Amino acid sequence: MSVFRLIVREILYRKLNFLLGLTAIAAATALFVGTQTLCVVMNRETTRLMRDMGFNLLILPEGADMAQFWSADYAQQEMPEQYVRDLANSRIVTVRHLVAQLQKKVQWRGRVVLLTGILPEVQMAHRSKKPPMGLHIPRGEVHLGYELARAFDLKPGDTIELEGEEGRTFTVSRCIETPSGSKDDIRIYAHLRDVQELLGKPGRINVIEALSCLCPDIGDADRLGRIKEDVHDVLPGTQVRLVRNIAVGRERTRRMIERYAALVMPGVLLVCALWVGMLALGNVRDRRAEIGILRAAGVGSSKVAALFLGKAVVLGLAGAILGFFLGTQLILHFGPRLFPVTAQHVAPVYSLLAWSAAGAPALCVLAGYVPAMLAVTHDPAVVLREE
Amino acid sequence: MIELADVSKLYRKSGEDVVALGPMNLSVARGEFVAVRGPSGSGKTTLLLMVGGMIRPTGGEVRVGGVDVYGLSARERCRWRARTVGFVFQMFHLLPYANVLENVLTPMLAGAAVTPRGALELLDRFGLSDRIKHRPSELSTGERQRVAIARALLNRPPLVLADEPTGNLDPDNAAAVMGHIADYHARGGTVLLVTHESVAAGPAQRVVELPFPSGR
Repeated sequence: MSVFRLIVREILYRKLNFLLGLTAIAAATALFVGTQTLCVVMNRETTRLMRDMGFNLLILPEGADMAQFWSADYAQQEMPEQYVRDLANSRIVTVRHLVAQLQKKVQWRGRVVLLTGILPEVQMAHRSKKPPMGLHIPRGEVHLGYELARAFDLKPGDTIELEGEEGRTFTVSRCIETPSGSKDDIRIYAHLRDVQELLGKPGRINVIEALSCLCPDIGDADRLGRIKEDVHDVLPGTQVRLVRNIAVGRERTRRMIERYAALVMPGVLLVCALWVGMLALGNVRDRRAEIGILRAAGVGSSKVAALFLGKAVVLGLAGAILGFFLGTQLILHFGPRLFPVTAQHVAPVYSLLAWSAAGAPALCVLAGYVPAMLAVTHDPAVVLREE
Repeated sequence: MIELADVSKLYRKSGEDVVALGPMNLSVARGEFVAVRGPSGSGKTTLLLMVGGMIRPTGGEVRVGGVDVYGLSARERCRWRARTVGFVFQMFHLLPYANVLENVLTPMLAGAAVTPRGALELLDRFGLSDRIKHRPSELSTGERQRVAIARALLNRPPLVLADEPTGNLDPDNAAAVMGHIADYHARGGTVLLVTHESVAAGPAQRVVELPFPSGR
């Protein structure tokens, strides 16, 4: 005969009371798990969509003339390619997804085109690996912008000649099929090494594109200053420019999701706590005679409280497990339709099970605390006299 | 065993004091069986709960086994009750969700030195060995009261306080229940029983009449 055994017996006896409480906790947990999983999925989706909009940070050589940069879309000045590795090997957290490029306007088949050499992304050495951004173009191959491919009727598999200090033949491995509405339509993309050789600039680059990190501990106003500070610590003299419309859009979208979750969840938890509290209060009223006889048998107030709070813990745990699977199933079912870009990454967030298993019982205990104290302080003689 | 000295109980109701009991004096010797008889509303249950440490008197002193019951802290009184008193109520007050064996083992929750084996032996003596897995709702009223008595006697308390134990029973069951209480008394236990029935007071060695209190 133990308190736990009595709790289980009572739950099985008053099934409706328990099921009503379980419904509330499971619903709240499902909403919590659903919202949090949704946030994770939405963040991933937003990140992907924002990533598709391009890098939002430019690291330019010392002395780069920005007026010239914006008119030509690249800096005349250059910097060592080693810079990108120096940055990747540093411990800064405010930038990631580093892509070194060397760009130059060149004449090709009677047109001015932007020859862009891209080094595959250099991952930050101290951070977890993420899917790389930017193009990965094997050596000897090129990607063609929409206008160039259309104008010269080029298709993947065709070969083109690129002249430079030493002319070479490249295979077209991809043609951009839709117009980008930007200078990218007149770009020829190739591996950085190939472009360095064509332009006779080995080991040189003129921009590092990157993505600024959304660091929660840095305010919007301080962000660029902090990034500049970090980059200059590693690469003194370079210039850092934030492509503000992309960066701001990315941040605002992510913050909006977080604010939504922060606004909705407290309300849900409050309603749930009140619901469970009312049920616990009703349970205490139903069990007044039981409390009376337990007190008459010499059972102490801590054990009487344990009967009620223990039930709250069991209710919370059962609700947490049920709610986790309900919420996860909802997201697994509807998530891929809502987030087609990252549909294959919609997956259960198992860490939320641990949070639910800790949070839901705590919420139930909190909600059941006042009723439990009423049970403990209830005068047993009152009900024992009512015969 | 029991010494009540000028104990009284007043309740405050709608701004007025209502006398529930007393003042009264009562002395019950160890091993004695005393019935307190009185009409409804005379304070019998209040008296019983007061002796059992469940209702603090407004005035006077309650001593049981030499212990000033209300001189103890709430926690000490709880422990004292678990060791010293077995309650039997008219309404049985069994845990509706627990089976017979679990109900009889309720004193275990209070830390009483009882065992399931002892409970099974007692239930066998009470003719309930084939009912140990049954819930109270599956028992007759007589069986329920026998379970309640078994619960009260399991830890062999020196004092049993019985409140109208036969009030809800037919004559046969009433006789059986009184037989069990008498048996406990015969083994040396002290019994204080309150009733409004003359029949229930039958086996008592002494009957104390409780008048309807003045001041109501």
